[in-house]
Amino acid sequence: MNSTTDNQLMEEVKEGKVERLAILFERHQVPLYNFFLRLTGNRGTSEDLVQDVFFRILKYRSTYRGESKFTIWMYQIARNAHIDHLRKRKEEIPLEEQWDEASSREPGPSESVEQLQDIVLLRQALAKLPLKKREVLVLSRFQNLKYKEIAELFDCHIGTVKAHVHRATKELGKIYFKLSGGMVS
Amino acid sequence: MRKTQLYLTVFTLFLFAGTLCYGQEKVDRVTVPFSNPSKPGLVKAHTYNGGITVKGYNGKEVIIEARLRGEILTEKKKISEKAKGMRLIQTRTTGLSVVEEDNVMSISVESSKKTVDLTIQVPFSTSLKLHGYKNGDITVDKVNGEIEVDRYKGELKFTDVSGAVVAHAYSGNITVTFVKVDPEKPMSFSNWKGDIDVTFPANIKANMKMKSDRGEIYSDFDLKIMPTPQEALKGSRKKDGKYRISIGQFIYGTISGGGPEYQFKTYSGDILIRKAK
Amino acid sequence: MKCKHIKVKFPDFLIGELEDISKKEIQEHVSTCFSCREELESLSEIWTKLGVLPQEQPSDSLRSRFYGMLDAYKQGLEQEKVKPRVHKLQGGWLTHWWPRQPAFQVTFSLALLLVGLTAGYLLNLNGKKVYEVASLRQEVQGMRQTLAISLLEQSSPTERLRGVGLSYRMEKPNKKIIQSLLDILDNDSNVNVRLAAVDALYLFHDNPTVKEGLIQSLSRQTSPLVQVSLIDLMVNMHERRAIESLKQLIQDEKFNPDVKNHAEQGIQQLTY
Ligand SMILES: [Zn+2]
Repeated sequence: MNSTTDNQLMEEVKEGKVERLAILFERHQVPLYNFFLRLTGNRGTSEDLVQDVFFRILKYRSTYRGESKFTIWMYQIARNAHIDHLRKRKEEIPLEEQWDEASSREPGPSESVEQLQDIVLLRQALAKLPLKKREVLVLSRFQNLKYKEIAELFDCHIGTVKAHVHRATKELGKIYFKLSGGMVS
Repeated sequence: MRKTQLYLTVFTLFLFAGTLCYGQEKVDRVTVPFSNPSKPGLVKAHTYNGGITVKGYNGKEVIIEARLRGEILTEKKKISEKAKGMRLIQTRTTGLSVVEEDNVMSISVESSKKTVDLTIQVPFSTSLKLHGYKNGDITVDKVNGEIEVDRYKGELKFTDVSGAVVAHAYSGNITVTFVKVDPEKPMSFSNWKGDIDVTFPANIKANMKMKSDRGEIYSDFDLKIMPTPQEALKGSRKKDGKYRISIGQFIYGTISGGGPEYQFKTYSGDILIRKAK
Repeated sequence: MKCKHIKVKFPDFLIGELEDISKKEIQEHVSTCFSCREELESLSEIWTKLGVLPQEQPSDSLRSRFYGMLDAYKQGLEQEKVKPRVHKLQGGWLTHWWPRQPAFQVTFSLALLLVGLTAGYLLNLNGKKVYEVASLRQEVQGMRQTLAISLLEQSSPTERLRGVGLSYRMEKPNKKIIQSLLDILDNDSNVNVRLAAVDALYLFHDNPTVKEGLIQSLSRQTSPLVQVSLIDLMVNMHERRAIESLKQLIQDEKFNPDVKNHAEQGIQQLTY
């Protein structure tokens, strides 16, 4: 772990040392890419969105306020970028059909056929969740955000976030159950 | 970065010659060079209680004097949050601090209880960003650059300036005389109470946008009144072919065919736009 | 009643952030309550199962695109600082969209920066790997918008004023412009720039985002001059929904009496 915190780096970027953004990029590009991948199910789109997020960070760097964690601000931008993206390509391709590549992929050496099947089903199930539930679930399950931080990000009460996580997980379970033909191993 | 540090070291040497006493008054004086004197620098000054006077002079360094009005007291100064990690160059009884980095010099007087007046001499070509709250005026003389000023109480008096000005005062007159304007840059002048009185060279080209809620607007320029952009978009011409100028809206006009936009806005004062004689 | 109290703790249980007492409480309860046990089991199962979704690596092109963008931005910033003379462009495709009036000519270097940025940006959006001048030409409007946005983010107030001026000469600004103008209205440190933003936004008050943003902004403004301008604007756009905010303003201690007066007149004009 580098000693310079994200917030310090972002302050420097704000002050004009834009090259410091490179460190933030290296730290966050992979999690951010996976965040988008789980929301959109499309690798190309996810890369574009990561690029868009860092472009926006540069553009809006003067609006950065160091009061909350940098990652919260970053995910705020990420959510906006994603929403803008959705508006642009509204209903162009149904989300669950975007995982074409993944479903046809050969299993890797460490993955069994069953596991691959699970992956495909889970992705399909995630894609069927309403956006807000999907976001909350992905943020809490994969992006290492605390409920308190998600609450800050969504500008709502922490109880609301927990209720959303609860409902989203429940709903995901139901969808997954249905997709797997009603049989749970 | 290394370069900057070098300069910081260099000009700390100047400090020891600094403090002078003029009878009752306590004065801190410091001379600071820009890290790249061949390029025009930016001087930012911030005070809460006291006036700011900036003068252009034929030199390369910035000479700063902080003058305490009234009695002398010693107080410890904290380095501001912004300058964290940098060295505090000056800390004296006036609470003056100066930090130079990448040709930007930040001068501040953090004391709010005592009144401290700042006098700053800068190379002719320098941009300014001045911010003050109360007890005194902000005056600028013979400076060429971009001048941004924000003042709560007190007058703004700029004489023989060149370049562009963006000025706001809450209460206090704004008086500006230009020697030359930057033909590319927009400007803006606004206050709540007080007049805005600006003298421009006769040959300027500009788009003017003016509004006074309670006062009058005067000018001896040949001002061609234009429709507001709103009206121009909607094409709302009256029958007689004249554009409506409605109360509560800005008046738009052009001088010599138009150029960058100059905005003037006051709530209760008058606006005077003069042609230099 | 008890079940409800227990279920509230499930989300914390899932991420393993519960003190031992609460964990024990849950365990005791589910040992006797079938429905809670079933729910907790199915929640935990799907939560754990999500772990099979692998963390993937983006391709190398993401990194090179990022550094390309950063370089272009940095160069642009540096050249902006030096403020070179304006190069007038004779002919060529840039003149198709380049503002003609001197006020809106911006340094050539800035333009180059924008070409760089926008090119990268277009690549993103279209997913095409080829950058063609021809396709850029069709993006004239987009470029101008990017230009305005980039000016709106400059540290010098005259540049920001220029950005505001440029944006209100657009017939159809995009969401980003509108958002930047609203950001400026709420956050810009300079009163004069905020005033200019009020005026620019007036042109787009038909846009619902703008309307909402203007009404919201009234309570956030600290400068009476900007407050009065916003009040005038609401009266001019006959926005009856603003009456509520104006009434609140009149009740609020922190506002200047002249501003309150102005607000009262505004309410009268809106309600007649
Ligand atoms: Zn129960």
